[in-house]
Amino acid sequence: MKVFIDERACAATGFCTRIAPGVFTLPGPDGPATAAAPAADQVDLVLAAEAACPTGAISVDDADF
Amino acid sequence: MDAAAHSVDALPDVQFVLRSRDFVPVRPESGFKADYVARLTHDSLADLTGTAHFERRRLLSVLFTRPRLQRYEDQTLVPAVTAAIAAARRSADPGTALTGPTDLLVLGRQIFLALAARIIGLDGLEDLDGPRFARYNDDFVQMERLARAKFIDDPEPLVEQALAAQERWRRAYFQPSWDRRLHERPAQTAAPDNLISLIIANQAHYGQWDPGLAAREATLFQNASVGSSAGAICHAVEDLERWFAGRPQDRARTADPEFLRRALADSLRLHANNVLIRTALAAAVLPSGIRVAAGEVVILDRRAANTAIERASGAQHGFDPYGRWDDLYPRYGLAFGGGAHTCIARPVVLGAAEPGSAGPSQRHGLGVTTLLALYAAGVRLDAALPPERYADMTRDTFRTFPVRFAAAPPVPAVAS
Repeated sequence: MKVFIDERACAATGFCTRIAPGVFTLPGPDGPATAAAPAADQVDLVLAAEAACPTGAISVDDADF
Repeated sequence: MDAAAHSVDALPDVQFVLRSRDFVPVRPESGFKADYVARLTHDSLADLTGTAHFERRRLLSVLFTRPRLQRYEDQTLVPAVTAAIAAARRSADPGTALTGPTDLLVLGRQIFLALAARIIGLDGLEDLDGPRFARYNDDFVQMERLARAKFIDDPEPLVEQALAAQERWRRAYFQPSWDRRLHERPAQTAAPDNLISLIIANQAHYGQWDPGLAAREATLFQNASVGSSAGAICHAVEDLERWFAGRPQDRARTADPEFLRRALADSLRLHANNVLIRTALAAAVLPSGIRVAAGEVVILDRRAANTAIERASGAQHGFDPYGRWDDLYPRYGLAFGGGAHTCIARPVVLGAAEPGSAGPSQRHGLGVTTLLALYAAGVRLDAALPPERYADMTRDTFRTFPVRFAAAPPVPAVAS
């Protein structure tokens, strides 16, 4: 699984870090968020973060899953 | 009495406010007729802030995952678009090249109401030509008119009509669907795929508010999406037809989803109609230097912010499907708001380029899917009946949008 962050769209709402704190990080109050490669047991959380991100800044390539 | 207000129309300022946690959707006590709209949808997603907003939005996002969006599009949107256009084309007189006039605003409302009903989980609205759907549409129109409240002096009659329509809608459509799904709940094992089932399954959250919230949340889902989507399609067709008048060779690109995606985004940028009003929870200084005190209000003119490029150059109409836009902002500008309160239906409207998915069922979003179908049916403005706009609103909101379609080709005779 590859996780992409659209830095232009990221508004640092903190949704992703609250849903999948082991994957997403907000380096500062204005973002943009960064994403680490998720472990297998974090896939569902990453997909939930993708759907919940208010600005649509997260996209996931889950073709291999 | 209205709170002290600042009008804000610079793109960086508007973006700053929308992203700031120190600004929240206008509070009823701030004035600006916010209390009128709140009477239909208070405590819904649009009203919440902070942790409550995060929890609600996280719950609701289950309805907007990629597989769900794909199903809405394939199972509801495409059949609704196909049926609505087919009904319009049946009006063509034999031997004529074009159909009679059809109001694209009405057609679009019908399509997007069908989609809203599916996402909410309202039963028995599959037949777009049936009397039940017609009554649903009538009640929706009465509720949606409340959006005009902020533009008129005495909105109370509009409010009363809207509340009466909401109650009729609740009794006839919402409550029976709720009761059926509540009764079937023990048999449900899959994740909720509609708003009603989601609310029933998440009473730990929704139970913190009064029982009437479920219907108000569903009202928000309808009122915030259907009319604006139908209007967006009309604006896009008008923009495209003007564009084709100068570049007729581009009409051939109306079968190209990417061309239509760019066209729709630019049209959305140009016609983001409603101002957004936010109440400041704390003192703030906007990027342009405007100082806002706690309790004051900012009135965000998204359309002015989105057309900063045109205003700077003096251009009257900046629609350009090929044009560049500021790299700092999405191509559709602030059409869906910004920050944590970005419209939750954004992916429904826009679709997305999706890594790993391909083929004929790849999701385009309701905007591009509808435009593809309209142009495949030969949609044209009606030269004798130009679109009409509301005179009592400060923004370009259509009252009617007459179009004609190419008459359907004759059905080939079956060899005997």
